[in-house]
Amino acid sequence: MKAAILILMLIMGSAIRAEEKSMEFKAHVVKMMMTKDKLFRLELLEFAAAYHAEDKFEPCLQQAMKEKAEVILKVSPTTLMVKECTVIEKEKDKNKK
Amino acid sequence: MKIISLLLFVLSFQLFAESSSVQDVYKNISVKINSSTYNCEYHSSSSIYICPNNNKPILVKFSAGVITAIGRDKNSKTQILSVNEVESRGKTLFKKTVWFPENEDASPEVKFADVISEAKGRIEPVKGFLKNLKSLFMFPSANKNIINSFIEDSEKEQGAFSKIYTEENYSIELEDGQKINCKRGAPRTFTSQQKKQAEETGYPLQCGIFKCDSVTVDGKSYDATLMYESNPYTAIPDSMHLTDKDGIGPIVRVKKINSNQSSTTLVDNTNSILLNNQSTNITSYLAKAIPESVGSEQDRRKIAAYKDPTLNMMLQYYSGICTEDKPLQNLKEARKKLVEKLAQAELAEFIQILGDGSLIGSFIDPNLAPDVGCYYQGVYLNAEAEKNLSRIKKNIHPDQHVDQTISMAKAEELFKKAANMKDIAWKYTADGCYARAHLMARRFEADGVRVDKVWIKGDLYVPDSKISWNFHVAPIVYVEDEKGTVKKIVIDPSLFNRPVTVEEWDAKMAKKTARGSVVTSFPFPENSAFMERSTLSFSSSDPYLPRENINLTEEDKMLRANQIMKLYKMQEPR
Repeated sequence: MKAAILILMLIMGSAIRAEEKSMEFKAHVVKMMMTKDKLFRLELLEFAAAYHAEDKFEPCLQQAMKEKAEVILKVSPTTLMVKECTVIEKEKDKNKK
Repeated sequence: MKIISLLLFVLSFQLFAESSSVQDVYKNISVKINSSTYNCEYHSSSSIYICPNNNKPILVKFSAGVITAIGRDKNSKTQILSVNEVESRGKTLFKKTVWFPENEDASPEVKFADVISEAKGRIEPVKGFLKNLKSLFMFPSANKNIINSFIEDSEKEQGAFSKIYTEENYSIELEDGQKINCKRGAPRTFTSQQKKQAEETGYPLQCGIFKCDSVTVDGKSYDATLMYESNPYTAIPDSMHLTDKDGIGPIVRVKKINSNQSSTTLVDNTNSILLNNQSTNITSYLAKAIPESVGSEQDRRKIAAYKDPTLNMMLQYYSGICTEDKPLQNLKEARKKLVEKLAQAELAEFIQILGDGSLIGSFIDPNLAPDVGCYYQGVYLNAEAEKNLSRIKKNIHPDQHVDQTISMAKAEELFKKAANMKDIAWKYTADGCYARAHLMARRFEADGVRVDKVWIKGDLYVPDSKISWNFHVAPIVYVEDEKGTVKKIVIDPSLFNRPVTVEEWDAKMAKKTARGSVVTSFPFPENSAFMERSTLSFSSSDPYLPRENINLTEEDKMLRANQIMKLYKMQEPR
């Protein structure tokens, strides 16, 4: 039994090690273009790389562009694919009633 | 023990749910569809009710609380019917509570406008209804025949449909009434990956580029190419493209696409918004961004239409599906010629400071430039930029007078020194050039060397690598040879293993735009790639990013550069 748990832990441990860590940063979206792979190619104000995002992130990215708001992006450091997108609401918007 | 009790409970609950289903309790029901009532009997083997209705039987299905029925219209075509009420033994089992205004005359014999709407509105729902009714051999013959005839008819219709969508030739009616024939281009031999994908998605692989009869517009004849993804479930719009030896001809729209074999209308755009010019689509939006200097309004609309990313996406898609035969090749060539006009257009540079203090460059129409700003050394500045000219001028153009030149040997020494800077993430090439350039520049300057920066903007990539950038930057130093000639030399260990000239540095990056690099002021025009060119610009060593707040302090820049390098150092491949 103990051996089984040990093996399981080892497997889980290696799985965790193999999993790629995401990078998280704040950025402004300047431009987004649909590519042939049906992905959005993003130009971020603070970065030179061309990032890519699936169309499920379109609402978040569009909102950020429209409001010129910052977004928190979680991206894969190797593929530069967006994994999570959150718009940071501006202070004045928060205070709107 | 507890687990067993729980399992028994779940099992008994399921049995109860099963035993209390409508079908098991009510073997005979009367179903009201429109104003007629039909008597139906339940057949457990198929889990459906059959309503004989003389020679026009109706099938009714209870599934997950939804009641659906199929029958036949006056032409004996299978049809989904809308059930209003179900009764049995004087008890109402179902009553449609939400009423939508229905055209009594049209229902259930709805006339679909074209094959696409017929497929989505009739053929597919009928197919869905009949999906699990295939093993019927146990049925008494009368019912077996009724259900089988529905299944056979549905399969026949599906077969006829797939034939319509894979035809080699279609007849087309254009918006001006011209009728032409179009022939489908030949498909490639598909890769196993393409085949697998098609199988998994159920989406057929077929060439959607058609060579058509020539089309006459204003007395001039053009070669015509139809782009039509003949599949009722596609989101790709059909489009007609006219070309001649000069390139893309006038824009014409397709009114109808008809099948030759079945004389059925596949596409009917008669009431489409696009055909009636009622929408402000992406083309008109893009047309506004194209300078008047490029050509007439019609030309600009044409360029905008052919810069539409969906069209480009489809051209690339069909390159992998169709053989490179004449229509596809013609279309690609003609598009290339058209965007070349934009690439060669003379443009003005406009630099502005926005309300938030950010400094931005863009290409604008040279005819409009004098109206938006004042002219300073080859660029137009907005009022705010003009007000801050003393602060920004060394960024727009670096100081032309260079007295701190170095030898090539010193440049090589600086290169080695840079490549050995342990805190710089050289191996993380995906991003971070701006931070690398800033740290290098400040360290070289600390050695008493004059440093500026070279920037490149466009749709850039480095061949044989995964690098795709929207801009790139590196420090430059001024090298003087024995003859006294001074050259700008780039120090960029992320791309090279030695110091290089600006020309070499530029050539290393491939561009997806029609024109190569042109030299502009800094900040470079952000719409360079849209204008089909890349841009090279030079600034002092001060700017950290191409679009930044003019009030950003040097302390802030260094802090950001160090933070970015720390982050990317962790991401470097080992």
